[in-house]
Amino acid sequence: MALFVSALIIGVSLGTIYGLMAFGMVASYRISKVVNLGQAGIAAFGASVYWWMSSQWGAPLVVSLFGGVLVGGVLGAILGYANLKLANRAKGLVMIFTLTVTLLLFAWVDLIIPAYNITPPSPFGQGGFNFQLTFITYAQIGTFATCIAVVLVTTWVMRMTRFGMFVRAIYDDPDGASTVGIPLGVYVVGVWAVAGGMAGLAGILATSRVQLDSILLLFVMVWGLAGAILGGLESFALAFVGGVSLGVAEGILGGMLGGDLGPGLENLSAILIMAVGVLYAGTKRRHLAHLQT
Amino acid sequence: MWSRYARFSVLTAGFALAVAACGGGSASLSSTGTSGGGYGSSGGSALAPQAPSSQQNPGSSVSGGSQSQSAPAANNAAPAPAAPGNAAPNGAKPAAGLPVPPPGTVPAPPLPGQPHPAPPASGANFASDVGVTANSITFGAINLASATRSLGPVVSEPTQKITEAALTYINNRGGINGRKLQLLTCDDGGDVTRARACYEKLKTQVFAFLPAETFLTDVIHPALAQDHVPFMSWGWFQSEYTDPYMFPCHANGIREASALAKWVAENKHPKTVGIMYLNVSEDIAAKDTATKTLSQYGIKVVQNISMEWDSPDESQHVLSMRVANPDAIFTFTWAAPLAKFFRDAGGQNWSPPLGYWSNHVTTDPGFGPVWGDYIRDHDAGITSFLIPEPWQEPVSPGNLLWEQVTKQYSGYDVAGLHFKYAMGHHISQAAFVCAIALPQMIGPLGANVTRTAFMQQLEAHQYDTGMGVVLKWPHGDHGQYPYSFNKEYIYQWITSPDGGWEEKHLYPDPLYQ
Repeated sequence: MALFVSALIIGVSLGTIYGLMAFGMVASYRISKVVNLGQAGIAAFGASVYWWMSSQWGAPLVVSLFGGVLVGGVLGAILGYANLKLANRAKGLVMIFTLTVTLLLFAWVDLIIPAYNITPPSPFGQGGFNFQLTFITYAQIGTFATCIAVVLVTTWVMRMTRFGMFVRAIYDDPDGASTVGIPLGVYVVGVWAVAGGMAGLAGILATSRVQLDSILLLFVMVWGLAGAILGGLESFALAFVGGVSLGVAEGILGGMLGGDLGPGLENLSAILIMAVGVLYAGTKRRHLAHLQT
Repeated sequence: MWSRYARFSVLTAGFALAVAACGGGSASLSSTGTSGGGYGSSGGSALAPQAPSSQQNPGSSVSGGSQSQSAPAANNAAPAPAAPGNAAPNGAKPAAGLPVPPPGTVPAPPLPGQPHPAPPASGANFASDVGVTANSITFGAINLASATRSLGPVVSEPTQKITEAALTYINNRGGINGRKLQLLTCDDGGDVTRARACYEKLKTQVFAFLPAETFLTDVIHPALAQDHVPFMSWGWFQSEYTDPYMFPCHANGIREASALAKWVAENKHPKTVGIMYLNVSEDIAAKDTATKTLSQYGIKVVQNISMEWDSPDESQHVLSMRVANPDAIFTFTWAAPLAKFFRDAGGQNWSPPLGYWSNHVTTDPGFGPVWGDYIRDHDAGITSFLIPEPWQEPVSPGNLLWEQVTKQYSGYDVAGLHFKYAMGHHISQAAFVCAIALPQMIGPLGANVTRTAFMQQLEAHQYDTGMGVVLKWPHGDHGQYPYSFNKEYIYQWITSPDGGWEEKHLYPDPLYQ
């Protein structure tokens, strides 16, 4: 039991990273129907800004965190503006464009950070405590709490504010929303900016737990995308659930069965579990619709 | 108007990027050389006392082997890989119909497969083979210097710089028989396709390849056999040892695993072990080899963990190892996932009672800060060469020269790292020992430097690196006994007197049998 609980904690901790990455993709997809693969690049760039400010300039962690998220937001806004300009193009083309942005940002990040592995300081400090068979760090708790907070705030904004109402209106009927005077462009850029900020936050929280490595964030984005697809890329809550589910699958498989699985089977098993989840969600989409935020 | 120009510029830049990305690596010439006495038959000054020395291979019928000998290796009795068309018989006259260059012209090197010009009657240097002119010999190196996400700069830049430094060192002493050495490097970015493009680009320009980090060395064997190109390699893949055109300058990981497992079994006596390995063929084979060796001592492997180089977290594997609770853990993996594992294990304040026993990945001098505090007193690793540890024991002659050449020509700051003792890591050592020994390898060939004769020379002689390894490549199978890395070295990370990272040489030295 202790082993299972420990593996579960590790899995949830892993899953929160995926969930954070999925949030931005859900946001930009909802407003533009574009799978935003620029999230990984923005995450890497936001994390490198955070690392640069905190470790090189000596700025306070909170200020650095704000800087990284802000830069992510600006990059997201630029990407949103470009998306507006490409509105008449095929969505697939725009998606590839966002992937190109990620690769360009990766190249930029690789120029900024040292060639050897670095780990930015955690905004939640070092240390932690033993629990069951594992050691829970403050960074894990902070990341999990932040993830929950983002879900709650996003849900509240979408349901209770004028901004959220307009975004939902655009999501349901862009032409109709435009007809009633909702400034489409402003809201699209705004939502992409928020998505960029989320990516920056995800990058900072993920890299301070592991290491600042752009290709690592690309894989985190892929896992996050898999989680987001569980909710049809439309629900923040389901994206969170999907990401956590994937992380739990990895944690339990690696922690409890890692030695029994052959090379590569650990990841493959997690992907299979995820695929089953996605297929299930696809067939039951209508039943999950009420969970959309 | 501006918009059109901007679009044109962007499109042009994009096209250029696409061409650059698809067209293979970029080659850059690094030419070195000033004045000096020279090695080989026409050289005056001797190599520094610390430099590697060569001697005839036991059992070889070849005579000589000293750096001052100039007898063409074509006379050597030891057979070499067949290289039709590459042989340049001594005294042969130019083939009829070949154009005769005007006096004073340095003839262009022959293309692969074409006959080589005969040496001039005067015995002067001439363009005796591909990459060789009357006054230069060009070598090639293919590396992954731009593969940032595979730690390319950290591993490849030191190797490239120390290779360039070694050639400069040689050139400043006159080169080899009056020929200056040049290096053409090509960056494959860690991509085998680009590496193949690098090879195709360089094979008609260079005399031979020098060791560098590239995954090409496992797949290029048919091309080498066709092109008859000597390739001194980094030794990572077992297939390098059985390729007659490849001359590995570093131990093979599978043999390392065998030697390390045997050493731990006989000196640490664990009852149970765990093994972590990267999910690639060489490390899977290393795991299997270690398991087989350990089973001969009755040691049970209670946990096998397959690692992926891109894993975002290793906490679950730490948990898995904690539950299995082995006496010791062997690691045959890559730096990135292992560093994450160490970080997570350190965070959980857990380690196996007898510590970690690693392949050469963890033992590089100067890399302590990269691994972090946890590695101290927890990890020991096996490595091919002695490493300079001035606080522990006298530094070996080869390492003294490594440090001297580094200090004089290169510098310690590479890729953002400040190396504490010497220029880099185990592959940079491998590249250095093979580059610095070129005067011994090529000098005896005199003016008639050919690829065939060079390979015959390598197979007929052995070269003391001064770093605890005598390089030898027996004809037929370069990994057969006497295998160059029959003896290796184990170092344990400890805290240095100044509070930094230090490595302690553990005895006895492990033997591969």
